[in-house]
Amino acid sequence: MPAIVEVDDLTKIYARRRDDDVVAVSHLAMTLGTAGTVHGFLGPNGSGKTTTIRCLLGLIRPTGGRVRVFGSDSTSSFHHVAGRVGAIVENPKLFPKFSGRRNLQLLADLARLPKGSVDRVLRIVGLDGRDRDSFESYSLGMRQRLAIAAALLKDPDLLILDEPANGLDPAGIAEMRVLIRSIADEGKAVLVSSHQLAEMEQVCDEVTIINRGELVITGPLDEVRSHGGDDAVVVTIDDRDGAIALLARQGMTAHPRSRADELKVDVDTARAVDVNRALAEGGRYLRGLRAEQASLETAFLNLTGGPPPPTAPPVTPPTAPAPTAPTAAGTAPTAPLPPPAAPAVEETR
Amino acid sequence: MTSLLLAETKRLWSRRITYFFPALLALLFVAGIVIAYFVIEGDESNNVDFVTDIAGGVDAREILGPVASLLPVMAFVIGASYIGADLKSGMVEQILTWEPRRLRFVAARIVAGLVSAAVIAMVLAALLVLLLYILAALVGTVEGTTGELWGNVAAAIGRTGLAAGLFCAFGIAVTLLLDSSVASITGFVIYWFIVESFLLSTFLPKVAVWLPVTNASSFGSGDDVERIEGSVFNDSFEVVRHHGYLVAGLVLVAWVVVSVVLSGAVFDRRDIA
Repeated sequence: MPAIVEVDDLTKIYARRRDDDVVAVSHLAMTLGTAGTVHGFLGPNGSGKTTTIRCLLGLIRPTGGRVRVFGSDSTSSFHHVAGRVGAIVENPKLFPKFSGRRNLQLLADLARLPKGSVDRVLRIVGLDGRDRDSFESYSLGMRQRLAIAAALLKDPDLLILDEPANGLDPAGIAEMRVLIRSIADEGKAVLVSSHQLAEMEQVCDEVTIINRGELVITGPLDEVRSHGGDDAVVVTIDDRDGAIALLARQGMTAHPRSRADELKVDVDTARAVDVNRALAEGGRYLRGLRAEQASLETAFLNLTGGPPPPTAPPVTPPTAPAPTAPTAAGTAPTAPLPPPAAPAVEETR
Repeated sequence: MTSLLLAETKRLWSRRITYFFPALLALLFVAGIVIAYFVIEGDESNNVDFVTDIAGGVDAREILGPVASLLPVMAFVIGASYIGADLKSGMVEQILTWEPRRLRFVAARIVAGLVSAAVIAMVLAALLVLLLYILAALVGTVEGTTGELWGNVAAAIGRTGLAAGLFCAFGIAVTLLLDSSVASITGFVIYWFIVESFLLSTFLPKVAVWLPVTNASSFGSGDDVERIEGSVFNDSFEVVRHHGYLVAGLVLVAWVVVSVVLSGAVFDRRDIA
């Protein structure tokens, strides 16, 4: 059985008349093989994600290499599998003056889809109450949802979404995550490109990261994320040198961070309570504590040699110089929490 | 292919411009006839004869003279904007993820445009004939209108419709080639009214007889394509027949076929990005 998506040594060079040619994608290889999974196709803006997706859909011709979807070559025979693929490329592209329903109906007519297809997808994306409004009157989030509805019209086995969270507010992004996950849970394969690594980390099962048109890494999420370094506990404390010495006596290695009151303890996040206890028993009360886990972002930066990810300043509690429990750090998965011995200090990253 | 053709036809007919230009022309026809009515009605000496004054005789070669240029131009604009709007909005990209065979897509657009524009042009031409007939009946005479005349009028309407349909296809093809409706419409208007109608027909008359505008006009009116021999600048020239309107129609078809094949070949290999 062929892979759902197979990219083999893909290269795309855009010829420029006056300037040098632009290498958009260079010798890229990736595979999306399992139905029911969300495959994140990640990389910074301009890294070649959209070019690759256009090659997948037969919209542009590769300069070299091959792209197959359900075993069919995208350049020459994508029409054999087009009915099994739904896609959004970049921004939603629909007729601005037409209502959402009319836009969908036009596409449904193209493929002679059964009556009721439009209603079905409008319900899925939650636009059934606004379907008669013109597309141009929709908010960005509604436009994205209508574009997803268009992509879902064919009831595809493979859904390709290019930057679906672009321009959405936090609530819209959360909705999009839920929608993508629910589509995959129905047994469809979803290929979703994004430059927002932290967002995609929450919804993907496997990822491919590219940078400057070249493959950085591809594989299951956990495997890729493990390149982001080891887990650690970050402590905010006034007497940093004293704390380092105290922790060293307990067999824990701690390193000062760039902030004068912050240090990183090289322990598993599950041992945050031990760090907390050791410092409290030594008479050094911390002002903040958080679990820091490897993330796609740190993995990307480690793999590409980019600058270290910025660390947001911890929230300083109003009082209570007391031992604290660790909390979930930003987008990283939540660390196991010990029962709080004192009012918890909530920090975010 | 049938569903694609139906969807493309539906798409064309869902565009406002498809109604706007024909409606505008219809209004102009009505306004023109109303004005003509009041002008002629007050003139006792003016007795309009439908057959001789309006149709230009039983062969009806002058019946659609006033719209011989307007309808193909309208059809070109409808065709150019039909594909141009979708190129600009990115809808072509969306459609190609549904029907990736680009030549089928182009063929469906061409056929939908050609048939629709031909129908629109024939309806407008028929409306004009009807209005002219009513005008003649009100302020002159419609005596002498024979079956032969009406047959020739119907043929003129059919040829005008076909010419308009071909120009709609031409508009689609040129816009696909240039990847812009603004460029193709601007270029077409300049070409029609300046390059071919004036420059080429004046300075290169041997070439002009094979060009699309000359042959479209001939085909629509049913007149021969004529060529100037000699120099127009020292009055030592004569106008000679070059070919008939049926050959003119074939020349027009050849132009459209070449442009459609060329645009299809270019579009088939173009990166949609």
